Amino acid sequence: MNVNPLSDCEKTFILEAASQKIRLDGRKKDEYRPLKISYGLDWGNCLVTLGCTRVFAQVSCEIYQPNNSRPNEGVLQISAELAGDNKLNDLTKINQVLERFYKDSKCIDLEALCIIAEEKVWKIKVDLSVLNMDGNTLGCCSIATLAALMHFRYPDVVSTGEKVVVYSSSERDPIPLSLHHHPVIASFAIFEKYDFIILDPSLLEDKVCDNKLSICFNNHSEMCGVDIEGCASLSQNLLMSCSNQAASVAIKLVDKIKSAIQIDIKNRSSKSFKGLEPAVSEDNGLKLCLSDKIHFVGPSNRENIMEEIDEKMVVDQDVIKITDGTAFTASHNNLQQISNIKKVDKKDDLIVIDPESGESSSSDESVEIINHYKLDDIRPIIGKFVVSDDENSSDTGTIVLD
Amino acid sequence: MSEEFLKCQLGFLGNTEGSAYLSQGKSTVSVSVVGPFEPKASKCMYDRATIDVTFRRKTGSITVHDKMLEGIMQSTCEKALVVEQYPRTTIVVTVQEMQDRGNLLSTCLNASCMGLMNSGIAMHHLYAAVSCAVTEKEEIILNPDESQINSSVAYFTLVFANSETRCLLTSHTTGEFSQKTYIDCMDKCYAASKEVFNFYQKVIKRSSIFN
Repeated sequence: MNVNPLSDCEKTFILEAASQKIRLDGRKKDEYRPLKISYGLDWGNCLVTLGCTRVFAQVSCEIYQPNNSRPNEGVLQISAELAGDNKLNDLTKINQVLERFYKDSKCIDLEALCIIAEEKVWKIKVDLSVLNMDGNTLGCCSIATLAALMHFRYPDVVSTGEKVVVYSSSERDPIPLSLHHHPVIASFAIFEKYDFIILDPSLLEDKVCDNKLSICFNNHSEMCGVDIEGCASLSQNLLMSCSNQAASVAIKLVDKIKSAIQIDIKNRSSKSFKGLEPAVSEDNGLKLCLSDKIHFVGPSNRENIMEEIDEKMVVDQDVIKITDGTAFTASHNNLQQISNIKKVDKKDDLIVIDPESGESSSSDESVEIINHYKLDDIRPIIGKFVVSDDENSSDTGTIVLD
Repeated sequence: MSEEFLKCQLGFLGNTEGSAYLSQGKSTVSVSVVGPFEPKASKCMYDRATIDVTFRRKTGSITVHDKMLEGIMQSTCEKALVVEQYPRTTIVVTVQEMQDRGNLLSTCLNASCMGLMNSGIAMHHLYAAVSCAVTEKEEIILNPDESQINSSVAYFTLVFANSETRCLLTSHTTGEFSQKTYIDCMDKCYAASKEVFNFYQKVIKRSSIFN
């Protein structure tokens, strides 16, 4: 992900618009961008799209040793990361805020996640990947966190005193997390000079505004946390009106998440459900139907190899020609020339020992093919030798070399 | 093989040079391409661009096996891109796994190719990855699903370039198989890769650049 730096003309343009209480994308000041929540095949896996901000969340669980201070409570961990290698944007701020809001509001029944006190508890991990940043990243992350947590199911566990049995999803249905309430963050951008407060700021508005206000509300209109970034001093009235707005937004968002989960569970029962996939529309995206019948267009490798082998066989036949001073090695059925031996003495004839039979493949006189090699024979040897004791051999007894 | 085999959406991330959101069967990945931009001095190479492929699991932590997949993607991308054209820069390709139901490597590779195409970075060739599994009866299944992979004897992922002649770029195999099986698989995968290239062409024609 790559976020361009803010230019001066963009900044003045946005401020100019803010002075006239107009937003760049034509939204009203309390209008949210279109929100889309799509769930994947796995439990606790969702992609949240808010305008162009995209956050992908996956909840996972593992058995973990509890903190000493809270021995009978499970652990919740939320970590947001930026997909992409841009060190300019770090999400530590978002991480902190999310952890604070979601842990401190005690929305998850952590005690229900305890398997054996002081020994084994469930650790619930929420991994958020921010794929694209286009303003209100925190708000989008909080929606993704809540949507994933509400969707997530952890495997059933039975503790029999001595051992703990974790049932796979095929044995026993996994259990959804028990959530006391559903907190969600609404973000505001405040242009103090023009007394212009906008909900769900876009990336440019996010950068230009004087300060940012994030209020976390749950679906019962209870405040779960406030985070103020920036240096403007906010009046009490302003905070109150913002929090009222945030409360109504939170209810709408939670309703939206709930309806998305209902739709997902309905879809899940059908066999053709494929989870996350790109939306295929006229202008962007295309689907390919690949049939089982594929025309073989490529060169057929097998035929090429067969041809090569044929050629080799012809060549091999030509090679077998034994002349004076030629050394050969025998491998399988054919002889291969290895080097030319300088003849020291004409009397020293070459011998080829044929292990199988005494049949000569050559009528050359200088090459003698013998069945057994005697130790006192000083002539150079070519060919393949098989060592065996032979009763018929004379004096020393033959040793056949291999 | 399912009816809707490949689905792709290009340019779905605003803040990147190129991005692709691709699902192949039931596996889905999203790819973002950023760059060429100026890297850290230590990563800078005076005569070529450095390609940095990062593979992200949805749960955040990656294993040794994932690192290997990353390496395969890295070498395939690096060969495809004209790195000499972008000296002293780096190109970052981030592959985010979103849903894994088998054939993850081929999905990632196809998505990264689409992402690179979308980014407009100069490339030598395109590439298409096709996976196939060999059953005990020596049957070859193209784009097998998860259960078919698990019950297979051997599993291949082959990557081809879109050249006139058959040009195998990457081959990743698991299991035992004979040479004949491998060649048979290569024939089938090469034929299937032509379909994938047709798909690329259709997607690019439909994408916003030409409208």
